[in-house]
Amino acid sequence: MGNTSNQVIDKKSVKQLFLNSEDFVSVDVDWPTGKGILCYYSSLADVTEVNKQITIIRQRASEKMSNWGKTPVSNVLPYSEDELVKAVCSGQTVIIFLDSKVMLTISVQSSFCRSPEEPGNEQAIRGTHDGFVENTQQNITLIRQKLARNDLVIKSITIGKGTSINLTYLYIDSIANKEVVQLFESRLQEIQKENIMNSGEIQDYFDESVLTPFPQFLNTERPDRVVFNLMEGKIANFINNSPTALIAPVSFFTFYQSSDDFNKRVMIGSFYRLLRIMSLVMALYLPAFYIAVVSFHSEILPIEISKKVKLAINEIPYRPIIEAMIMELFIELIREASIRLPKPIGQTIGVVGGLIIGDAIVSAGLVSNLMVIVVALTAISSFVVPSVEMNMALRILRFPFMLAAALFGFFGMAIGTIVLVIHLLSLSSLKQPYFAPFVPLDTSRFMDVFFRVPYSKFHKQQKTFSFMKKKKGRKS
Amino acid sequence: MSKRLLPAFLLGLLLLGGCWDEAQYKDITIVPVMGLTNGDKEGEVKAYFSYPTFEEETIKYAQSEGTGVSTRAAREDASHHTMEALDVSHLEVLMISSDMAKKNVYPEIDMFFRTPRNRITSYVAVVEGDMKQYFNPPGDFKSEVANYYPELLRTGVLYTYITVSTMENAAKLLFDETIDLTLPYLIIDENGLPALDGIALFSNNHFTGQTLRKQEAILAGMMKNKLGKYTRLSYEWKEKDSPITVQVIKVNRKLKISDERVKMKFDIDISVDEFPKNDLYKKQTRREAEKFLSAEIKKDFEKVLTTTQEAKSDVFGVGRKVHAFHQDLWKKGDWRETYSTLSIEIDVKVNLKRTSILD
Repeated sequence: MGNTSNQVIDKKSVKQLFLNSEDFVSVDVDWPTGKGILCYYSSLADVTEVNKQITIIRQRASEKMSNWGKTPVSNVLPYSEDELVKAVCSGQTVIIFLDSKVMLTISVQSSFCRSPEEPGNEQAIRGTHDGFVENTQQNITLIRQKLARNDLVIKSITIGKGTSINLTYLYIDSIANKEVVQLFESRLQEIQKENIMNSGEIQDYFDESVLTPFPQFLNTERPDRVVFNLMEGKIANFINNSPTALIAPVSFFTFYQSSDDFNKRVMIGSFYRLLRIMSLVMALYLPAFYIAVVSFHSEILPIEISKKVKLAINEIPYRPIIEAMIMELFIELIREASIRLPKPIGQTIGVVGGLIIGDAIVSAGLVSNLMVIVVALTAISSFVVPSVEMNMALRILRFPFMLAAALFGFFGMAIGTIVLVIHLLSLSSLKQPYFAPFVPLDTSRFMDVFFRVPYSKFHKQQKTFSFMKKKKGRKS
Repeated sequence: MSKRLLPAFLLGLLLLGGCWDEAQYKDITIVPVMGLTNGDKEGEVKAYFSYPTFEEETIKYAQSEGTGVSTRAAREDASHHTMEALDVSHLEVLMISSDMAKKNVYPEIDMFFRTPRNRITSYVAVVEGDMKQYFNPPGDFKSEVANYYPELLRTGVLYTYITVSTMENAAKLLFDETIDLTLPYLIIDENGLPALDGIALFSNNHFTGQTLRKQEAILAGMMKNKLGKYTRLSYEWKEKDSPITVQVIKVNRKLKISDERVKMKFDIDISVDEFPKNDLYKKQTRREAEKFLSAEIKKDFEKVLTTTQEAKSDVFGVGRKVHAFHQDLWKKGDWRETYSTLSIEIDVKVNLKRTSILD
């Protein structure tokens, strides 16, 4: 391509530029200032609305207004083929004026957009029931409606060569840490030339450590969750055509907060938050604990339960680790299968898999009934986490723990825990410590990790990553 | 190690069964009750084991015995004819025959402290007579040995029939110069069934042969100020022509030692559990009851004290205070001898705190 200002521009050559595509329309139009070519993709432009706008703009032009082409939906640019292609491909309607070598772009895209329904994988009992859609503009509207303040900054950047992904990021200027915003922007500059298709890829580029099961971005489809996080000084970003917002920097405990907590009564919200954090322990350790007990430390069981355990495992032909692996694989299979299948069949799979096979596998003597209890409890606890990504991380981490328990018993679990904690401490999200507020230690934020603190008692502006600094709050 | 070899190494580890300290639960048999007695030959230990076995998805109970030069050797011997290896890390009750207890018992229980897996919170009890009949009671025994003794002793502790006598406590007191050990004493009663008879008195590190029976054992528990959840005493109140049952709430013991004279002062808070006369609402009756009980308990305490002095068994820990504050008395000679000749005065004051819901 390149600038072809010397070349003759006519209807045909423009059509040629778009390879005579069936849905590409180019027609000659008369304009008060001279002849023009109107071109657009009929599949992208909202034709009736375009007609209305053209009438208005033509009116302005015939009235000889100085800036007749500049309206909220239109703009006047110097003509170039690159710009033309870009504009038309993004759904704008372009009128090229042959004499003055300028073009008028009218952006009235026809948009097919679903309604902002509550996302299926992040449901809340009480609170807003809206969710993001595939249209960034609409998503930003959802956020702006909740945040009526002028220091909510929304910026946008185009990245990628062939794909032209538009990344929009938001933060609240007065709360967000300037350095973090700068870091984020410099990372964006770095990836501007990459070919990126979806938000998962962006996440990879942004992650400080890729080889970790722990997500360093919170992804959510809930506007209220984004707003809560923005209010804590985080940066949210969208890419166009994706309903998922990525939020960074996050800490480990961000993933354990649910918007439900904030809508519950203080005591109830606190109870469920504590429960969730306990579920973390269950999901990680329960199978490992079971394996360690039956292969190393059976003496810790009280005699009453000990007899039942012995009765259950006495006739199992193989080692507990193998037994556990069979069961865990089985549960993962059910889970994976029920995701891929259509919803009504998915439930059936759950029943068939969970109940029938679960029962049969015990009576067949392949797995002990205690193992079934352990694995089922573990699966349930891991689903408690309000973030799908963290849930996956926990599910994966169970396996090394089981292995360690099978090899070294409680000692192995202790070693595993040490390694895990070291790993968590070394992680960072946009250069902010991942395991805050434990390291670096900020005891004033402990309460907020484990409990849902009453709003009326917040004495600090909740900024997740500014340590030990007293900040103005709602009450101080 | 190169990174490529690491996964292979980890996979290999998985296949190494029976490594390190592994003791697959399905390959061992847990032994809740174990009995130790002198073997037929000099210096030999004979051990009895009672344990559940698991077959065809039901629990049955089996017994086994073995002899050897030590407890561990006896266990190894017994394992020769059991399906799975016997594992005493789950031990709930260790019974020692009175013959064996008459010499130093520590060498026999030393094994339990050597393996970190073993629990040292299991009960230790002394049994009268032949050990074998405790595993096969001659009477019409309805329950299982492996379940019976742990529950029996647990109840005993709850009702202050005995004081807590875990292996850990026992070993601690065996080595303590200033206080003596008591252990639960089991007998085969007239119906041929094993029963808790009271406590066995130890002197230094051996069983004296003297025991405190039933109510005496409860009183000894009170004098040690080691009360279980319920401590009940019953007396026949002749003047009122009625029995009275009281529950001890709290015992406060004060020990005063001066010039080789020991004064034990007890302040006992009680509540009346049973008194059919039902006139405790009168202040007069309450005063009378306190006076009557003080006198009765004092009389009983003195009897218990005399028994322990005869047995040269300082179970109340008078020696603790003597050792700490009265070195001249302590150094007079062997403490047990001194204790048996010590003049100890007992003073009991009963405070009636509650009179049950009827009054």
